[in-house]
Amino acid sequence: MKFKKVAAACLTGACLVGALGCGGGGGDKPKADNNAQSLKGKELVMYVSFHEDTAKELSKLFKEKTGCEVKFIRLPTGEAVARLQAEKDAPKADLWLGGTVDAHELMKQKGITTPYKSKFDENLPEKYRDKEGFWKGTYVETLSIGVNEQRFEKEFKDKGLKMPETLEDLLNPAYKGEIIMPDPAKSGTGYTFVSSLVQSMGEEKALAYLKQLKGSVAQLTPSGFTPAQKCGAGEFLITVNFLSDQTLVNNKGQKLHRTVFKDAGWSLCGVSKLKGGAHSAEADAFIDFMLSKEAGDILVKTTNGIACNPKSAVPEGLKPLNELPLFDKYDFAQAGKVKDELLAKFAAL
Amino acid sequence: MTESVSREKSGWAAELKVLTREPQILLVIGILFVLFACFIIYPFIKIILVPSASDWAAAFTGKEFYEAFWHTMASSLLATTSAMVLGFMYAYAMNYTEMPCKRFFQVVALLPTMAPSVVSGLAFIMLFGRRGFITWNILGLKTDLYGWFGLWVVQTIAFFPLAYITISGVLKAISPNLELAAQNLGARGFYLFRTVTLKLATPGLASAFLLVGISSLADFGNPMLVGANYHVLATEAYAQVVGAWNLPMGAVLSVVLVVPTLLVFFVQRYYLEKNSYVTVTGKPVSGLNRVTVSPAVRWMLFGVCLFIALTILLIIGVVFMFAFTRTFGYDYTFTMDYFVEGVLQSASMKNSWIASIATAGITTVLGILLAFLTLRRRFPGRAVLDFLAMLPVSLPGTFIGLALIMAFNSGVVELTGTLTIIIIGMTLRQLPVGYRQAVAGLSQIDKSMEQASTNLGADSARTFFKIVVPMLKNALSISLVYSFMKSMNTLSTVIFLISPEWNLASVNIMSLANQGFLTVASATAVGMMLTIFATFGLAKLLLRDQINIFDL
Repeated sequence: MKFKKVAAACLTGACLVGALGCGGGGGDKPKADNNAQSLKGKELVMYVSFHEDTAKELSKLFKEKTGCEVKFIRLPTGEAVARLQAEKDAPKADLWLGGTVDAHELMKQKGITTPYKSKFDENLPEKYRDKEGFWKGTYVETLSIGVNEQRFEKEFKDKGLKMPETLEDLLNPAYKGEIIMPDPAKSGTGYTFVSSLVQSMGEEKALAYLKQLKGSVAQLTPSGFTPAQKCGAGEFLITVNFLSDQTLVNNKGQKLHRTVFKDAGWSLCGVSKLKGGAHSAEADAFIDFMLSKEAGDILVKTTNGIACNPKSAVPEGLKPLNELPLFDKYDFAQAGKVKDELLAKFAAL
Repeated sequence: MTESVSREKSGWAAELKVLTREPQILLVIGILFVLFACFIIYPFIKIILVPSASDWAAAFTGKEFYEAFWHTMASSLLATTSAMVLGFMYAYAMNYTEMPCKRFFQVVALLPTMAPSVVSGLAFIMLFGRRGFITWNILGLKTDLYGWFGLWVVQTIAFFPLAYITISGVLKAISPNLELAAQNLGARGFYLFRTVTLKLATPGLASAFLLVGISSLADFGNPMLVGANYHVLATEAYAQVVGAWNLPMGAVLSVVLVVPTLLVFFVQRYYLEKNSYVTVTGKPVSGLNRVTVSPAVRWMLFGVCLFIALTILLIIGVVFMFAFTRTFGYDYTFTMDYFVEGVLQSASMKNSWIASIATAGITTVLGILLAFLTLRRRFPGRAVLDFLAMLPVSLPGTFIGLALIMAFNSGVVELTGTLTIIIIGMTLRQLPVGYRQAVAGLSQIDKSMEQASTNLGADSARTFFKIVVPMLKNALSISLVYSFMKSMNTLSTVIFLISPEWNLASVNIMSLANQGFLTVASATAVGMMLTIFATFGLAKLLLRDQINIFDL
């Protein structure tokens, strides 16, 4: 009797799942099949500012789904920006994938990208996409304090210091000359740190804090990634940069203690369609694909970032976006507007 | 062409009139001018037009600008001087002494040119930096290489090979008979060295100084890695473009780099044109042995060479360790995985090879042609051609790249994304080396041999191929070997020129290193060194005595 009940329940469950699956997929499936036929033999050229393996996995899955060949080269955000501007009159790519969203915003203003309204736009919360459809977010990068665990245990723990996890901790004179962070004038990561502080603390307080911190910082690097690397190698004890970079170093064996501090600044990595690219329909299809849960899962798996699509999984050991102590009101547009002014103030500190 | 120019000054007209007797030469000169106008002047104008007047004003009022300018001058002068001193000692030891292990020294001296600076610079930091394997782990020293001192050391190592091979070429071309004559007249030791050898080597040394100096002005990789808060113009320009997204400001900073080049260029030109340094005169010298140095000097030089060679080997050794152990510093298990991933499964090495071979060939041919024309023929615009050939080396590579895509992205000549544009970029970068080597070689050879050939009825082309080219074997070899190696791992110039179809190994290496994949980056660098060695082996096998590879 009991067995029958369980079996029946299982069966019902299976049917339900099947029905849901069919129902859910019903709308999508035929379209996907259409895509598979229409894009077979077509190609798409992308400039990618993600890490190489992320781009590889995304293009592989996209090809499986649509049959479209994807060609790409990897360009760090800044190089992509320079190149897109130089190629403006006759773009050699169709899509720019990755790179912080302030850069995508700039490309929008310069008339280099073109809007695309996807029927899957709703997959993303509104704050993670451009209102006019120029760019869509893919995943969120959050700032974090990273500490070289091995060095802290060996050299600092005995002095009665506790693991630095807050912005206040960084001001401890014991860490003078041991902190490395990206240069706000040259790295988007660095600027995110400065501008989010100014927005969350208010300018006066933030600049006072930064002045004190600057005295302890050994190096301001041009690249957002370098601090994590040098901190991992033990050259410096503390890094302030994006969490995903720190996680990358950590997962390679150089252990970094990572803390997303209170009111941490964050940034989005975006995707934009380029105006005048040769493969317009393919670019649209790829943006549709980037809005899907599967694409989000790949991003999470390969970048340790948190996908903008709330349906995608959260990276191991991390909390979902709404539970992180991020500075929720961070305003990209405002940050971009005051950039020159703020950088001049930072330089004068 | 002839008519349009001959309407100009009368001096030009006279020169042109002589030239019309040799239509081939006129044609070649015409083609060179067109090429230079297309691929140097046009892109340069394109990028110089990017900044507005206010951008220029902004640059010259900022204190960062002056700081970066002086840093550039100071670091470049320091590194050039030390690289020249070491390069001279090394070259002198190779050419004037009988010391053991010469072949070993000759091979090792070229290694820093074979490994991309991204990897060797990182290896240097891992060895001697704040947590350096040697300075920290073994000696327990607290060192910090970031800043001018570390930059000086790294740039010295980086530019040592160029100084060495250029100077070596010069010393080799000095005919021993003058030294023997001096010796017979009683000159000995340092006096002989100072009054004869050094005097004869002067134009070559000046040429080497110009070449090394200008290359180091635009050096980007080393200041990026170890300069840290010590900013120079090339890194500032790059950071302005890719960090602050300020292309105009980056253009201003790059164009400023042309000023010191102009200065060095005119000083050298004025200085060299005044004197004659001809030593190869066609009189028989075979069978004469070079004067050699005393044993004390020989062993001192041996010590210097050994020190340089060991430092280089140590750095390259670390690159190998990274490439073939799991995690250098933690887990020393041997592995081939990184090599397979970085070299065997990647198409970019082949692309790099094709582009570099093409570049080496074009550079060498163009270089010797240019040198022959500017030194041996009088024609209007000679100095312009001379300057244009040197101009690209003083610009940061990223700007050559950006200028090229701005110039050839659309319109009549659309080249972006092709192999052609990569080869053009590489050629612009290496042309000065090929050209300077040929100039140095040619200015040591007496005109009389060519005149003899002409008197015997040979035309310009025949004289060029039968007389000039064979005498410049060493200069040609240097140009081929060096521009091939340099193009294989050139980075800043090609960053903006690569495309999905034509990706290059050097860019891969930097991209991997920047993403923290130091192991695969090192393995790719090792693959690059092996590719270079294999190519040299093949060249030696095919060309035998027609090329010098390591005995430069």
